This record gives sequence, C-alpha cells and structure tokens, in this order.
Amino acid sequence: MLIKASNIVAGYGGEPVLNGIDLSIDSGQIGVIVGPNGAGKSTALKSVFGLIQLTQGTVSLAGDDVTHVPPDQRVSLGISYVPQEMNIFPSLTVRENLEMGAFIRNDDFSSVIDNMYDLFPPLKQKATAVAGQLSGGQRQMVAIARALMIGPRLLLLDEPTVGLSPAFVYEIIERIKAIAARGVGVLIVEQNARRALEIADIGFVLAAGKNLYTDSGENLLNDPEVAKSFLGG
Amino acid sequence: MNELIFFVNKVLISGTIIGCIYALGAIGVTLVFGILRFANFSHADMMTVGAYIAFIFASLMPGAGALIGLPTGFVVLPLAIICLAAFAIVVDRLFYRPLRERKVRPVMLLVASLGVTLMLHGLVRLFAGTSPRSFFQDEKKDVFRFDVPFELASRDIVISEPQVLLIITSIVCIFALHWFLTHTKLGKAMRAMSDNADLALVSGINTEKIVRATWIIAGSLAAVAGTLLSLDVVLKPDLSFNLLLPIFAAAIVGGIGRPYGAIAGGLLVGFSETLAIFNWSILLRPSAEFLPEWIDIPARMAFVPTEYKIIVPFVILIAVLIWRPTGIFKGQVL
Repeated sequence: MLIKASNIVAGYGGEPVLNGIDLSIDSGQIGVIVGPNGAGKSTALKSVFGLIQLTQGTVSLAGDDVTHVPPDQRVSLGISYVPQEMNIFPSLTVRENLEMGAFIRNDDFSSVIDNMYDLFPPLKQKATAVAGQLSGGQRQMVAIARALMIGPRLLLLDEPTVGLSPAFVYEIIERIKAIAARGVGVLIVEQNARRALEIADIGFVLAAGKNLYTDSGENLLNDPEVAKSFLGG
Repeated sequence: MNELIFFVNKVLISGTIIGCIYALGAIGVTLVFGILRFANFSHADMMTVGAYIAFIFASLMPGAGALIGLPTGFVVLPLAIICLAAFAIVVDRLFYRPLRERKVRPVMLLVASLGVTLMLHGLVRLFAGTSPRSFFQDEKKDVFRFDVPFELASRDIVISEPQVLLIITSIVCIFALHWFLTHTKLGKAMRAMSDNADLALVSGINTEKIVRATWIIAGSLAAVAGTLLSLDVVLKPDLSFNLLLPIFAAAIVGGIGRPYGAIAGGLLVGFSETLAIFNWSILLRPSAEFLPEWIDIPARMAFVPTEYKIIVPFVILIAVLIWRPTGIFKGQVL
C-alpha cells in the first residue's frame, strides 16, 4: 500500500471529528472520500498530511511509519497537499507559483515546469500572469500543478472542483485521471459524490467520523443503500 | 527665480531626503509584517541602534573616510549593516521566536516589540548617553552648490554630500531588493510566504529560513536608513523614534505587506510633510506687485507649523484607513 491510515482518531481539540477511520490506496489509484457535510472528509485528508495531531492511529507511507512526521517533511517524502481554499500564491506569477512548489528541489526543474504546461496547456499562455487574476478553473490548475512540482508519490486534493463551471470540472477530472495514470496515488475529497465515484478506484463513504462503506467506485455507485443515503437516490 | 530655487531646496530636496528615509523604514516594517504578521514597533529604534553602531565604527577608524574621499560614517556603513542584521536575528531568537514557537497570536508579538523598543531606548542611552553627537566632528561635511544659470537667480541649489549619498544608496537598496524579491529563490519564497503562509508551509518552504532572511533585510535597511539620517542631521538617542508614526503611515498608505507600496508611501508621506510645512507666501511674494493693494500676503502661509508636522502622517493615516484600508497597492487589512 502506498498510503495506509489506520484507526485515525483526530480533531481540533474537544470532541474528535474522526472516530477511527481507515483509508488506504495504492500507487496509480484514485481514492475518493465522500460523505455528508460534517462527516470529517477534509479532516481525514488533513490527518493524512499531518496538519492535525492524531490522538490515535497510525499513518504509513509505503510501509514506513510517518505518523509523527511534520507536514513540511512529508513533502520531502513525496506527499503533496492541495487545500480547498487559498491554494495558490495570488501575487506571484503562474511560473513563480510552480517554482514555489519545487522549493525543496535543488536540481534543475525546468523540464518539470514544461511537463506541467503540457498537462495544463492554459498555464503556458498565462505563465507570466499574476495567479490571483486567473479564473477559478485556471487557479485550480495552478494549485494542482504546484503540488505536482515535487513529483509526488501521493497527491491529496481537497474538493478540487468546488465552484468551477462544468467545463472546468470535466477538465480537472480528466487531468486527475492523467495524473493517476502516471503512477501517482491520488486521494480526493469530493462534495459531488456521484461524479467523483465514477473515476474512483476506491471510494470511502464517511459519516460522523467513521467509515460507513469502503468499496470500488463502481460498486458503491451501484449499491442501493449508498445511492439512497448519499447519492440522492 | 530665487523663490523657485527656495522651493526646490525646501520641498524637492528635503522631501526626497525624508521620503527616502521613510521608504527604507517602511520597507522593513512592511516586510516584517508580511512574513511575521505583526507591526514591529521596534523598527525605528533599530534604525537608531544602527546609526550608533556606525558611529562606534567611525570612531574606531577615523581615517577611513579620507582614504576614499567619502564621509567616514558612510564608509563604515557595510560593517554597521552586518552588525545590525546579526543583532536583528539575535533579538528574534531571544524575544520573538520563543513566542512564535508557542504559536501566540500576532498581537502578543506586537506587545513584545514594544518591549524591545523600550529596551533599545535604554540600551542606547546607557552606552552612549543622551547628548547629541556628530559624525562630522573632525571631518568637513561637503556641500554642493549648483549655480542656476539665470540672471534673476542669485541663490544656489544646495545639497550636502550625505544627502546625495542617501538618495543614491536608497535607490541602490530599492533596486537590490527588487532583484532579490523577483529573481532569487529565497526572495520569491518570501513573497510567497507573505502571500499565503499556510500554503508556503504545505509546499515544504522552510519558514524559519524565510524569517531569518526577513530580519536580515529589515535590519540592513534599518542600518542604512539610521546611519544616513544621522549623517544628514545629528546622532541622538531619539533620532528615529519620532519617525515611527510616519514610517507606519508610509507602510499602510502603500499597502501593508507590499514593499513597492512602502516606497511609494514613504515618498508620499515625505513630500506631504515638506509641502505642508513649506511657507507658500514665499512663492506668492513676487506676485505682490500685480495684486490690488488691499490684498496683503502674510509673512507665513504654511499649512502646518513646522513643530506640528507630525500631524501630517496622522491625517494621511486616518484618511487611508477610512477610505482605502488596503492602501495604494492593495495590501492586507490590519
């Protein structure tokens, strides 16, 4: 398993938000976390990245225990995280945003930047534009490209399509599939459960901080119980 | 013509000089705010400390200036810069970093900086006394006089050597800072962290390294501003304490967290001050003969008496906070 989070109990002080959840995906897989509001989806993603302290449970990356590794060092281990909001440097140019993603790299990463321009062609024309002035969809591309600059093994995306127009949603989803096809494990939190489960190798349905169902995306979509409770029938 | 030359001397040159000082100070304040999220009240006193460090070096090597043909205080400036940059890091280690590690709210750091201000105040007086000192005790302060080639102009445009050095050094510092912020990895990371500190951390940017770089730059600029100011006027313990308000006004006018805004804000506040205290009746006097007799031009027609010029940055500050709290360059809202 590329990433394996077992029996995670965590919160922001006070009542824990997560009451013992398990998540695990393999390289090249897309894992999707879905569930109602307040189920702890974003918190689960943050706990995998180490942004919140775990009161219980372990996180391991490719078999190595990383439970107590701080987030900035998890970046060096190959985990990238894209927050839901404020996920770009607005006053920096697109290219500078990508360079900041590669801050921990000391090698020549210009080919990686070209790679990102291939993956997200709109960014190439906007390379010298200030990122804060881009459209929502292009910002999301900047955010994902920034996270990919280290050449991560695992990419964590918190609601990457929220607030985007349908054309951009399709675009971003296609890109996520392409990223996974390169062998990167992708763990996504999604509000739009049906659309996300369509591309999921594994879906995790959370409710009240617990795993309710864990199965392949296809099986979850076809499960009448899941459909009734979480996919709006 | 003489009136116009008087205007150039009193407004253009004085405004540029004080504007440069404010700009250098405001850049330091705004960078520290951008990275560490607190208003550093001790910045003005860091400038004073920098000037005293330069004074110590100048006293240790009194002949240094004559060798190159520049004022000694200016020649030892690089040494003062190094010392004050190191001093700024030490202050951070002793007072700010322990608070940062406890993840206190920024207002606590602000209060800590007030404490640092008082300590620096005391330190300077403890070691240097309260009497004013001059860098030009044993040296001559060169003054350049430019003859204006007009018949009616009998006055000269006057600018002293320290003033010329101040303007040149400020321009060099600003360009160097611009290059650093836009062309180096560390500089870009500084802008990134000022933009979005959480994302900088998530990107694996070493934030303590950025904090250190910020103190080095803020300390260096404080040393430059303090030393050059004391070369222009005199060195005294409250050299730059009175500059605190105009410097903050400049930083806020320009948009807090925006170094280029700080430069614009510094010049704006500097020129506003000199224009406000300028005696406009001097410019009007030549027109007296064309005016009807019943109009009498008063002897003094300044907007603000010189001794109250501190109200100018106050007014600017309040106006900006009411009508455009993000400043000219759209910085953060305090």
